[in-house]
Amino acid sequence: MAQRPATKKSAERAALPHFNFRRLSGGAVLLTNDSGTHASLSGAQFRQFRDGRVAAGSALYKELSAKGFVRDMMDMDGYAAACAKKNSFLGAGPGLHILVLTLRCNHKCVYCQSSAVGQASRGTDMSPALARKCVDFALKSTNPGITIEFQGGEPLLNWEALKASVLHARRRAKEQGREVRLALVSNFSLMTEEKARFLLANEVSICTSLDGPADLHDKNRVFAGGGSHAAAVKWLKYFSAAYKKQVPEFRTFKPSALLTVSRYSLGREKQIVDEYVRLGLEDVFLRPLAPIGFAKQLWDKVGYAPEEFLSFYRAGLDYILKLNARGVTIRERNAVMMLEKILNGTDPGYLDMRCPCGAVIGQLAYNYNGDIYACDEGRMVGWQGDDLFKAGNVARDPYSKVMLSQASRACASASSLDTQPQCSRCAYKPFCGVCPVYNYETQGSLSGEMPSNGRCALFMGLFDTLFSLLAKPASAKILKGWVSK
Amino acid sequence: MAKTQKTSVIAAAGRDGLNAVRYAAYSLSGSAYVFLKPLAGGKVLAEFEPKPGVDARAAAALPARFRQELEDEKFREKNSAENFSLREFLLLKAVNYAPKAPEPEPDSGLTPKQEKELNDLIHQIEKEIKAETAGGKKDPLGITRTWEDKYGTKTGNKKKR
Repeated sequence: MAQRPATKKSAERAALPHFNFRRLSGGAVLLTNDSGTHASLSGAQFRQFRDGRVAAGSALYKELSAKGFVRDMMDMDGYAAACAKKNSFLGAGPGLHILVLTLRCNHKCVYCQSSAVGQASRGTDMSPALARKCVDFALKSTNPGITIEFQGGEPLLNWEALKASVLHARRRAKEQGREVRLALVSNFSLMTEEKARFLLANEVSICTSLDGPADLHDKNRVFAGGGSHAAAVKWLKYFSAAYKKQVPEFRTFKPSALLTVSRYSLGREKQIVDEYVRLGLEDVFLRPLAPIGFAKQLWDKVGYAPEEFLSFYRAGLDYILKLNARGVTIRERNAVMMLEKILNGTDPGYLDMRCPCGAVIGQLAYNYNGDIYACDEGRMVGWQGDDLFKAGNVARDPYSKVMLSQASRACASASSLDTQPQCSRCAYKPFCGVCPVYNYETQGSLSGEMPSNGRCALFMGLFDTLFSLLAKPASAKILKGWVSK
Repeated sequence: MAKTQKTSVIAAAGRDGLNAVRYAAYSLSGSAYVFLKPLAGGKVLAEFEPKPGVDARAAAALPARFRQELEDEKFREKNSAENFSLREFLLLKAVNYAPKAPEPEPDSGLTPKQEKELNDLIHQIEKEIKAETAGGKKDPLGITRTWEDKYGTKTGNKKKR
């Protein structure tokens, strides 16, 4: 009997390092590894690779070697450096601190997730003294670049607390010699020249909600006091003009806008993108609605299936790419954040897509009464009477206790993808993250079940879309341009 | 609507690995209730009962999807087992990774070779210290430390931009 050539097969199989893979539609197979590199193979190439039959010296072998998919050719230092870079947030301390200055709001948005109450309600405003305490607590974080974000309800309904916390944060930051970013999320309906000047002078960046053209925006964001869209557009133009003008006394940031996609938005992706372009905004965030908090009760009316959102998303992204090809500057935020991870190996600071998620270790949400939650979504669950995500209270608990709270530990554990049976083997693991609050609200457990999880289906679809576009030279060029340094 | 038929596949736990069978079954649990039953001879019966809303075509494809998933899971199991130690080593290396410091100016009086040896030695000692302390402390990442714990109560030393 002829001797078998010296156990070639098993020797080559042993040369495969650890990797995850996903079979994409059309037969391609995506490979990824812990360092965040990826390679896209045809079905035949994947079989060759899996069976250890890729010829040494071939173009495919060279590509796979360079990307860390050939065990004997791995750059161990480079691999470890890439892993460290993409996970550098782990020991940084919470960077985002959300101050809910009031639960009151003058809007009645159809998808409201933020547990807002009526404008005339009492007892849901944060006092200026408590707001300052929250700022002090936020400044305990070791993160060198914290952001304090003022939210509501509508934060301009509690101007005194907003003003007090801005001035206090600026003073304390100066004392500590550190950079502190301040950001306001407002519907602008109560904005005045005086308030705008104060915000600009104190370098507060501005973000508003903009759901598309006037009819769609006003349908989603009902405002009894007049057109919500008109106010948003008026002040977006004001802050854009200030940004263009710039003055030497302080930095002025470009205003931004957040889109929430409701059922009414489906099929209107072009008009939404056109509205953003018309207003000179360079980013549009095709952001899905989540059945969390009060939106859960309204889901039948305003929600949609993941597949419906993905159709909307693909059409919107396709349109954005066409605009880019014609020289229009507009990017899609989901894509930008995912591409930062996929192409640059960096963490873009999107706390919902980290492993573990940003709950406590990346962000804290301070309710009007000083209660601290693992994240803003966790606060919304708390407002419904379930304090599972409460991590402490600003007035009562020291920083270390909040960081080690049960909410913190439970969220970190549940959102570690290595503990998730499906995620641990998923090709998108290096770039993805799960949300314990979403899991809890939709599936009744912090860990959830990914095979039937709507958010997982949605993110899988987003990643599939991006990787299929990266495989096409024309769209890849545009997408790479969005995150090139 | 007519009730969709249950379908089933017999897997060999010994040949396929029980973990691979379980992972393959779990991956289909979005579309079907999957029941795993032990059979004689080290075999496992995987039964699929389509969930409401799953159309007949998708339901009929469940056994084929299971077989494909099982093949992939078997490979994943094997690949994971073969690389366990290497992966652990790489991740530990990443946890202890410190970016290389800039090259020092050549004013130490040492030859480049001696300089390199000294740097290698320092690097090695740093790595050993880190390796010894990682996981040994209650809070290796310093998550519970405050700004003051880390940097002290520094005041007013930075001019506004």
